[in-house]
Amino acid sequence: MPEHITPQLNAFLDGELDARTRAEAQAHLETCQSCRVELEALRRVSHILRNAPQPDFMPAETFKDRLMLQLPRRDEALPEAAHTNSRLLPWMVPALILACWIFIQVTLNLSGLIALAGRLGVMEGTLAWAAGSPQQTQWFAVAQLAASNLVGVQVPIGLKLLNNAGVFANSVVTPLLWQAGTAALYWGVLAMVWQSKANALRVSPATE
Amino acid sequence: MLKKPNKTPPNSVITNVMKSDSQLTMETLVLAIDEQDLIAHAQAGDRRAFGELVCLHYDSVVRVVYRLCSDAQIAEDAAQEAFMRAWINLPGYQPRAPFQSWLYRIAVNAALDALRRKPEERLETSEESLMMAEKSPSPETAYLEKEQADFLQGAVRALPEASRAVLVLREYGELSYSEIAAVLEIPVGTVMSRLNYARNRLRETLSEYQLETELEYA
Repeated sequence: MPEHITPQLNAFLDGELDARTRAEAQAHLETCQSCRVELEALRRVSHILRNAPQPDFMPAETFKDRLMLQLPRRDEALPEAAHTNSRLLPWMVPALILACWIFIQVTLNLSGLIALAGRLGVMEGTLAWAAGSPQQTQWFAVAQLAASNLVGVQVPIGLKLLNNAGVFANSVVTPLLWQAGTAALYWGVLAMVWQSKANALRVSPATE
Repeated sequence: MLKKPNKTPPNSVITNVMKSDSQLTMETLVLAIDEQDLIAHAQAGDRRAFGELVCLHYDSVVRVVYRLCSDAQIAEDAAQEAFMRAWINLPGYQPRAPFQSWLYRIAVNAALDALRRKPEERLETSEESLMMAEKSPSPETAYLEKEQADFLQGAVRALPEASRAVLVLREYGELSYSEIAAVLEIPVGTVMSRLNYARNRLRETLSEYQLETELEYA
């Protein structure tokens, strides 16, 4: 005997199965007494629920008349501008963060390009004021100066490596951290907006 | 395998028309057009048109709300709250979904809100329940129906909100699985599992009731 079709019995009872599955279920029910008993019990529950007595509610006309007395003016109950603002406001925060992030990224990229152009001499020194000296950190410049003045030798290789690491951190790690921080903030705010929207849906209709 | 849901027509009455060819009467079609007309007028601020819509849908809305609340007074209050919300939000209603489903959605939320506000006051007394049952043809039948309905109604009240809403929309709102899914914004699979859970719990309650009755009369 094939397996019981217990999970499908409700859908069968409610006429929610497609024709083929329904025919299969019907064939199974003809041979399986356990499923037939189960189906009959579900049908009985449904029957009792639908035929359960209910009180006499006020007539529709009376209800309507009462409702009409309390029906607010629509523009008073929900000013359109406020309604639109309340809908848009949660989305403004992530949008603002995204705009800031784009601005920072564009600024960083542009300053990188300017620095590169300055070093390559493309602008013939006109960008010297802006290009700076990205190849060395301030402490390394001081150390290099002190070493050449006092000792008269070149800066040790270890310090050079430390300098390179500093330059690398300045040019790569810092922007990456900025990006990661901004992205985390952005997704955090977005998640909060989604969550609050999901909660609102639970207690009020989507169109409210 | 579940039936594929139909494309949602713009109007609930039209949905009903499509459900069965035998129901495709001129009268129903006129009703459908009338309702569309009423909705359009009510959206534009016509209170009289909205009043007509209230009369059309009050019975089904209050029935669903009552089964969620199990209290007539709370049900009427929640139905009133639901129609007020519907009036306020009607300009935002788009006929992608049937109007009745849209109303049910608001009504379910209003009912659950009402229950959260007054959880301790919502139980229908046994006496009120018996008065309802006395409309049945004979005293014995009335008593039996009252007993069974009381047991099941108690079990319905004890169901988690999520399962109760699905069960009520199916049994009293008479919505299809896809319509329930649209009203509650959940997948059809979740509708099925919640309905399975709810009916199985009720079936167990009914079995307990029968066992108790048999022991009582043994």
